[in-house]
Amino acid sequence: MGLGTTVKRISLDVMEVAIRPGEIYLSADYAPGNLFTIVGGPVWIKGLFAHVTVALENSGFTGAITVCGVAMQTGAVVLNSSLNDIIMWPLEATAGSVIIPNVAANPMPTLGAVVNNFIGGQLAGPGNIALTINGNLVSTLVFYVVYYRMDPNSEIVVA
Amino acid sequence: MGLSNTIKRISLDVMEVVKRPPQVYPIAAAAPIFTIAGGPVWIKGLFFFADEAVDDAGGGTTMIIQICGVPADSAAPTAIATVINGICVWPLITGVVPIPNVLANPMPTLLAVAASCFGQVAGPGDITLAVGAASTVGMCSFYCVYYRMNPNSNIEVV
Repeated sequence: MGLGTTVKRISLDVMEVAIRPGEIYLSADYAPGNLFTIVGGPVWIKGLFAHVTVALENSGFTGAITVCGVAMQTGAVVLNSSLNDIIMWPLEATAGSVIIPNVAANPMPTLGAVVNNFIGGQLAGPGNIALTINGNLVSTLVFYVVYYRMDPNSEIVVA
Repeated sequence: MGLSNTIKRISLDVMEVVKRPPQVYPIAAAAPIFTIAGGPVWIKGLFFFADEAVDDAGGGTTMIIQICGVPADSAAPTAIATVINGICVWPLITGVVPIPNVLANPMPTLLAVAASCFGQVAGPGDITLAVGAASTVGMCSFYCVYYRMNPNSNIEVV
């Protein structure tokens, strides 16, 4: 096996993290609006969360996310969280798999998702990862997606 | 420990992905799509990505996959119609159905985990596909995600 093939094979084992820079999310832009885009081939998404980076998020408004149009939670929840908290998405929509906001250290995958037999991750092909909020948030959120590429051309890019 | 040994040990920790290039699959009895060679592998996932709409014409295409002769699904013909960019994931365990036609699809499948299957270890042999009822209309690409259990282990496209 040549060096090129070796590097390609090893590169698929690299855990990738796509980071969307901090933003105050406004309903005019995210009803829904795209956070990330999957391009080039399938990816295996292992985690999706937001970090509250500037101030208390106390708007009282809800958020929900889809990957290629598929819900990543059972329903939207109020995203209120303290500074530096993690808001964790369950990545699937079986009853009990809810978004967990307002925790400074947050299991990934969520405990509810694991109870629902979701332990590996979510495969998805090219498409969008979209956020829907029902009002203007007040803090700055930084979104992260943790994933593995299934193809050397696969990637998740910030939308 | 020498460099050669170090590389061998590290290489076993590398998650491997082997992709079978996209193609249309005609009706066929079980035939190899991948071959396990050189030693055992720990298969963590097996799925196809629909490069085109697969069986969107109501042809009722079914698939059955076996790993070294052991069913990796319910062992009964399962309809696999899937929209373009959709994914069909195999459970890797006998008696559990594959999940087709979802744009974002858990791997391992929720039903596989409910059946306590987190992966499948197999030695040299073929991963075979049987296509029934109708040929696929569009092309799909099969992917197999695995770890080698031996420096010589490998899964190759047939």
